Amino acid sequence: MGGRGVGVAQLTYREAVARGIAQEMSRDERVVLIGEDVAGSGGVFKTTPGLLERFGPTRVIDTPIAEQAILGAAMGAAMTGLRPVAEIMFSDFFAVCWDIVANQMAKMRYMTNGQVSVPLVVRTANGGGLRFGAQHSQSVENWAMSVPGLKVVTPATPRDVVGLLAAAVRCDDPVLFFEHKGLFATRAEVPDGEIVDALGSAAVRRPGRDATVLALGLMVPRALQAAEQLAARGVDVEVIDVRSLVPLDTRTILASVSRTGRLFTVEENPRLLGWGAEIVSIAAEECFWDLDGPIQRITTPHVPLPSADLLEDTVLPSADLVANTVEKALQG
Amino acid sequence: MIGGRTLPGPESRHRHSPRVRRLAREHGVGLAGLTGTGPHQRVTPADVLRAASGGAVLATPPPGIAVVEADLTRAQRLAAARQVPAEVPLAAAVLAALRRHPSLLPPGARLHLGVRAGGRLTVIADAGDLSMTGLARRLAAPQADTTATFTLSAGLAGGLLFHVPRVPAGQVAALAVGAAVHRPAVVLDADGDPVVAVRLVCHLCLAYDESAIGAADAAAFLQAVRDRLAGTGTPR
Repeated sequence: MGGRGVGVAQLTYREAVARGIAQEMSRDERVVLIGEDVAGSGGVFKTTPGLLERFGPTRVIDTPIAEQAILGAAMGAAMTGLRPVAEIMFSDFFAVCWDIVANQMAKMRYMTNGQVSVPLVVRTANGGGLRFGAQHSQSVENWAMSVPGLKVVTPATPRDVVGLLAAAVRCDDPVLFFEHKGLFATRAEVPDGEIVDALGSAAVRRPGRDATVLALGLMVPRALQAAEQLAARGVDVEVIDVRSLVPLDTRTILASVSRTGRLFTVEENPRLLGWGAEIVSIAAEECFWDLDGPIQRITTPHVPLPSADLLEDTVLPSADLVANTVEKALQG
Repeated sequence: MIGGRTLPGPESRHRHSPRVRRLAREHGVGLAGLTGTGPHQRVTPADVLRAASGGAVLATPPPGIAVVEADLTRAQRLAAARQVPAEVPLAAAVLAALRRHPSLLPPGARLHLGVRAGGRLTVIADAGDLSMTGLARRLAAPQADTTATFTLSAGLAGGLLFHVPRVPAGQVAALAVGAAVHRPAVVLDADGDPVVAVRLVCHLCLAYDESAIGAADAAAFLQAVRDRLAGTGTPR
């Protein structure tokens, strides 16, 4: 994938986080990193090693365990000219600082009639599959989606971590950047040189004719596995990595649904009001006359995530579940 | 006789996806006559497009339709007495009528009776000489892989008086039995005088391939079924 004679590196998803932050910090000295253990120890998930050494303690800042302080400081910095990247270690902990996110960051541009913007990124480790239990495993993109004024991004590949993080840093409004804990160890090619994506662009990971399968984060590789299983059974599905929930790439998604006539979402979040529900409602409004069968959502059941291996594996959507659900629906 | 040709069944609307309905509208394709190639014979978008381009999908001509009223009182009594499902006396009457009117079967075909009841199609191979008990047994334990040569639809959902059955490809005719309702009816008493009695009554609707049989054949067959049900037909 290198192209144009550019080199390619094999990077893990976690290494891509540091690469993306470093790319933006070296480009723009207003970019600073702030969070628990992001500096001295290189991040509790080892996503930020080497940044303190490279950019120094005034730009890479460790904080106490105080999410409100982290985001309060980041927001103040953003309002006064910096472009902070803040880290909330587990996305579950947005619950303890949600006033700053939902009532302050999201509203400031509107309540000041555009006089003040809040150009910051809040990175956070999201999602399950690592036996961290109900309070450290949630997929909470839908919390953020429900607040006007926030942008919501979830990369699924190392390359997208770099490109979407760069786009988020360069955005003049607050972006919640959901890194998936279950993907940190995955490795893939990332081209050398600067990578900048556009927010609000989905990626077709696998073209197909028979159905459109939307996935996000950890569910992207699982949907792709399911697509391979289905291909062996003669079903050709298109897998789209949604990547950005707000703004949403309705053009790519709806074009695919209009072509295939069938839509499935694969969501890690519990059932009620997951991101897929919103997209499904858009598709039902915009694509009704193109649909050739019921739309179906594949989600975790509406339960807190268990920490026991077997139970967690049972409730999270698996490639087998996706393949079997799609196959059954297409035959129904 | 109903003025139109094909009465849309209650489920026909739901069997077509929005996409199929849109394509049919855009291309001026009538969905009623289309044979679907999708799962459960659903019409697929490709079927509509093929039909629109004059392709291979069979646009079957509308069937001939004949309807009579039948008295089920005796059949219901028989079913209760022999502890068999209500469709068994109906099937027996149809078989008897088919033996007398073989023109309703495809030429040279054996009598494989398809019975659609409770949403399920059961095909009874070589059903021609089965007793009611035998029919009941074969209905309960169907054997696979026989194509029906005549289809009986019993037990329409939703209390429909009648509906026009689809004549499956390769068959000459198909019979649908409407909802059985108790109604005052004129019958003959022991002296042969007309009296009003409460009877269990239903409609029998025969759809048939007009290129194979005519209205007189359809009427004779329905008459035979009706007489057999009422116990007034010529015993075989």
